[in-house]
Amino acid sequence: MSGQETTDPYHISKNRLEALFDGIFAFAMTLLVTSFIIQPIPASDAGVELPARIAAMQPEFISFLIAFFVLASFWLAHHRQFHFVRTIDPALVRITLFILAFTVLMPFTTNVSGDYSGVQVAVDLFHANLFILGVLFLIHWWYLVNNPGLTSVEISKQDAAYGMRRALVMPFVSFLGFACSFASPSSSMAVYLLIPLVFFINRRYFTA
Amino acid sequence: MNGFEQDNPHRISKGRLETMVDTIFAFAMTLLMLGIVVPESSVSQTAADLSADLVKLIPQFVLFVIAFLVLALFWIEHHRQFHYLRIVDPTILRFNIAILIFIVLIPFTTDVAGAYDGVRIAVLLFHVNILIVGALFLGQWMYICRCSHLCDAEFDSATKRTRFRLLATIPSVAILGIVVAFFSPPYSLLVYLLVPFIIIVRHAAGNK
Repeated sequence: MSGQETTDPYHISKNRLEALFDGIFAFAMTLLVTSFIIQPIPASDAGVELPARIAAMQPEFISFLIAFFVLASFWLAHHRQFHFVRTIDPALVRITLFILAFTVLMPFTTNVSGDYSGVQVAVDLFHANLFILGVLFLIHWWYLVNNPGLTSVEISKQDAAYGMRRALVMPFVSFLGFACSFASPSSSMAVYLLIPLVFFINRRYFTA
Repeated sequence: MNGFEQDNPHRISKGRLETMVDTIFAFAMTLLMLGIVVPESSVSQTAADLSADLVKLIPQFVLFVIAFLVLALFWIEHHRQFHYLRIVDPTILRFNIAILIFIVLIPFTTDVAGAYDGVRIAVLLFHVNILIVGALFLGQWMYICRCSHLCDAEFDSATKRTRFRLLATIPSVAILGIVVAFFSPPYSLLVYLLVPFIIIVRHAAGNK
């Protein structure tokens, strides 16, 4: 099976899929900075106007930081999941491409939710984007666990359950953010601060 | 220990982290170009106004060159530090994510400092950004020096000291820039031109 797959000209190699994934993640993470836009100010007013404009960018800055950390942790999650992968099949390529499509949307949804942090629709776009990404990573892990032919070593029950719990955090937290946005759009972003806490509890109390 | 770390699925491979860092640096360095914007004007006006507009862009162009070279220096520094590393541990990973956040911010701070080089707060944003990245690189190097189990081979204390002094250059120059910014914001950006001189002088002194 392995020999036949590697001679198949349509076979995508693991390294190239990783390279594409890393490249797109790096680009998306860097593009997040383009959400910081200061409208041109005439030079005569700049000394007075600029500090106020920069101070007013606080919500955009918070969105930027959250999006950067979330993308970094998705990148790490992908790295962890791909550690087990030996060979790639078409379904795995499709799941990866869906993940990348929604990753590429992140700079846009981050920009909108930072610019209009008080508007529910804008903030919900951000939560929805992360929810979809989280669910796709959950599918990715579920697919790897259930297709031992793709992995180099069989994923133990314990690792599988631990990975599932980790992958469930993001859909859960972003859904909570969506629910909170009905009460207060701008403070619903704070739910992502739960992520480090949840990971810490998961590592501390649910691993042998 | 070594074998355990090789098999640990949560271990991040040095190769993938390097690719990620290189791509983000490459993209951030390219994005610097977005800071140089020619104001749009109608075609009939263009011939007369364009040369005047281009002259006005000189400070932004100078700052673009400075920021590009500073990013290039940081990239080379990253390469050198990773030359000594054999494995990546969670602390190194955190250092790298922190470094990347502030690298991604450099196109924005360069843009603001270039557009409003007469305004103190705009210029300070740039200096503080460079100072933070420089300090993080210094911190990472001090961490690598303390954790020899992460490295390929032991390196002598002379190497440690030389690199430490080299790394201290950029944060010190950034602090100098912050001080100068209180007297003259536009000229404070030129302090970075000292960096090549400092490096050359140190080289000459070291070779004697």
